[in-house]
Amino acid sequence: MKTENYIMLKADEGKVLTNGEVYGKVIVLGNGDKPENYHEISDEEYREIQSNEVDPIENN
Amino acid sequence: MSIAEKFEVIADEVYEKGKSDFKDLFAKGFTNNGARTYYSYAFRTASFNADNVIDFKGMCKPIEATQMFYNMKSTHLPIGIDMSNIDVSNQNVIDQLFAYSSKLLELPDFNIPATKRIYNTYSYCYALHTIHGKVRVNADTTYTNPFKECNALQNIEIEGTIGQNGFNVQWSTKLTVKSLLSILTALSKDSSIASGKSITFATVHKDIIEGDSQCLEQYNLAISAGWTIAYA
Repeated sequence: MKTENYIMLKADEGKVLTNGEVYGKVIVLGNGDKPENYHEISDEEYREIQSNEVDPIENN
Repeated sequence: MSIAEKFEVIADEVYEKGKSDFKDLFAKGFTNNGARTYYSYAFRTASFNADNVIDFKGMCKPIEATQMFYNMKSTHLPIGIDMSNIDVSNQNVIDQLFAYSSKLLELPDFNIPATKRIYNTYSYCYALHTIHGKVRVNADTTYTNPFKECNALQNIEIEGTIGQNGFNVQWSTKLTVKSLLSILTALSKDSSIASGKSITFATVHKDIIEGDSQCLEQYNLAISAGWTIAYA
């Protein structure tokens, strides 16, 4: 039996983890990635970031 | 059969023949007998239903297909389209190809080759559950909202290697184990490519991936190679 050990970050309730590029409630760090690369933002901030993404249909 | 009934049958046959001839004529005219290659915006906002689907019978061979099926209002797409010749040196070539076609249920296999980027290509296809054929990518293919709001998507098969950031299926909570395995298998296991890269799944995918031995194997290999896995 083989056991894999990874670092898993879990966001607090109402928060989302991000490194500025990827967002998640749970982040499983790839080999070489570090917890200090991540911080929490609120769900509201996350929704705002998503809604600020370019909405293609509005540009056409 | 009465004379009236016979007449009705003949009338139906004539009607169907006329409809079929019209579709063939349309297909030939629309494709300039197969010579047309620029199809960007060609079917934007168009509407087809099961009764009026056009079969291009291979005559529709786009080289450019930006927004070709953007914001279509129908449940069906034209068929008999071959995208194997699209200009893969053009990074925009399948941008927003099907975006906002919110009633589409399935996509036929159009033989779309790996392109430089997948930019909103399938996004906002809220009802789409199956992409037939394969989504072809290579390690250099970049992703911007490839499947955003594809809430119904269940079946997808990736051919090639995912090697860049931005592949995100967080909205597709109904993806099958087979689809998830296809994505995980496609993730580059070359650490020189995977290091520092990330991919986003839905939170419900976590248990599915960890509960399937094949998915788990690919998942472990991906993380070891350097992929960070986000569950949003």
